[in-house]
Amino acid sequence: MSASNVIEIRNLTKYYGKKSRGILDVSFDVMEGEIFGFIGPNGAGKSTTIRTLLSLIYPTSGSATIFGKDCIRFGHEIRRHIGYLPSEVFYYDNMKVLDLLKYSASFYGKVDMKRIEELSTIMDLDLNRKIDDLSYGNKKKVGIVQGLLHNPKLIILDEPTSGLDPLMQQKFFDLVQLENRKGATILMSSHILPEVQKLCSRVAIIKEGRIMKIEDIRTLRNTAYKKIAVSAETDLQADFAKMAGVTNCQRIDQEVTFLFKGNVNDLVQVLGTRSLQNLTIEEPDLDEIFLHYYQADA
Amino acid sequence: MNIVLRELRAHLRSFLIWAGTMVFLIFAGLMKYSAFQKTGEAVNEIFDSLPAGLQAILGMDAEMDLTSIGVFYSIFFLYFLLLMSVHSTMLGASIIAKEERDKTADFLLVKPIRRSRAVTAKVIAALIMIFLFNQITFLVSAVMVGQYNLTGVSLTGPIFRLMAILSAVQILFLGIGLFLGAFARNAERASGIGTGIILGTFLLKILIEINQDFEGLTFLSPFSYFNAYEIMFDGAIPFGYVVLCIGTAICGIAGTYLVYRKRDLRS
Repeated sequence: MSASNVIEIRNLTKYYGKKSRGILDVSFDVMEGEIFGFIGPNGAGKSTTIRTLLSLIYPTSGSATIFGKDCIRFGHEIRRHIGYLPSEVFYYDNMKVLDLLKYSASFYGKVDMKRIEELSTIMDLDLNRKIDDLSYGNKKKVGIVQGLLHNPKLIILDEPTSGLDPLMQQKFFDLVQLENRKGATILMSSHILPEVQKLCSRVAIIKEGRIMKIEDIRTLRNTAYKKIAVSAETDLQADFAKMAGVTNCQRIDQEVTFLFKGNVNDLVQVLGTRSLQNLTIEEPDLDEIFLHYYQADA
Repeated sequence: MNIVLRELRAHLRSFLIWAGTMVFLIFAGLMKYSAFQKTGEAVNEIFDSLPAGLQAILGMDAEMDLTSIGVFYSIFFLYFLLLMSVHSTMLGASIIAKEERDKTADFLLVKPIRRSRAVTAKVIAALIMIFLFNQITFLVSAVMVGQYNLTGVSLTGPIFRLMAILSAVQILFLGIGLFLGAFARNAERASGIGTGIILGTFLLKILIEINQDFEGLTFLSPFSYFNAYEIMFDGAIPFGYVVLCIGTAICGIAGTYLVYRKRDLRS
């Protein structure tokens, strides 16, 4: 392994049963100290990849190493240094939060009460409540705290922000960045592009079990598309359809929508000469970006 | 050790229900005995007149003197067998399969432990629970039977022998349950198959008792391995069947490790 790679995934393939596709030929590396994003729509294979890394499931073919050790053969050793937040958190219902955290900590040696208190204060978590009384978001907080309790060197987060309100998301991002600055490597899956853009330095994009692209986040941002919608009395479709950098130009009633890639000044100039009723410019959602990758491949 | 304690705590409530049921069964059964005791010989005549099949289901045979407390108690054996086999099978199946049913497998098995260590802890916890269940049955039986025993000859020894035999059957069904829990991938299906096995082997026992032709199948039904009366009063312990029980259990537990180690865990 190269000295700086924490995770190395090589041609990892997983089928559930004979036909059901999990992931196909997935390969990527996560370097030490980086925050790596793993992005794709639901059902693309993000959780399959992550659960294979944790040897919760076994690959059909291919291999993966973490800290230079095979993740299946040395799973129990590797997992000492991994903190994992599953996409859906489920815990033993009749336990109190504190008991669950202590139970979790007991697998890593001495229970560090200071660390439990420190993390739950940051995440605003009430330790004395019963798990079954907690809302989904609060269970997620328990998951976050228990995943970080043992100061893991590698933090694996599967859809970490679902169920958290924006304030909590921000606190959580701060916490992740703090752990990262202290030296932890982070692999985080998501289907929400902006949150990955906010945190990650590199991303792998997965769709239907295959890695479409592995890219530096800055490159992704530079090649980023804008989703434009304009309404006007006159039909503007022809004006925009022929412009350089415009794709997927469509017209529904008075509204024309298209994706734009390129120098925004060019676009603004054209827009400035038209009489518009309404204008929105937004980030395209992931599916639209994937659409582009598909078209590029075709 | 932490997993063992966690499992014991998690099963405390259901264990208390099982133990309570057992205590009630012994209590209610012996209440009937006090009526039999007063009625005397007529009771034996009533039960003698029952058809053989029904006698087999009730766990008695024609020559039994039901007015004797020891003989009467020996009938309990079949009910103990049923209760304990259900308890052991369900316990074994659920202690393994519930991690996936409750989706806690993603919590427990990302801890720095081998899967086999989780299985070992669960086996130990289950063994502790079936042992305690057995001992509660023993203590309550010994005390309660002592109350009704006016013969002056203690029955504690014979009851203890019966419990020792019961523990072999408990271990057998625990082994089956554990294997089902690991194999069936689904807690409901595991306990479904487990119930099927218990019902099937119990019906086989009845079949064997009413029709001699099936005697060759005795080894398939743990319910017909042991005769309570002989164990209690003749001291006759069929070691072959004890070995068969323990052997099957060991196979079941070994199978549990093999299957669970190599299996995908459902999320």
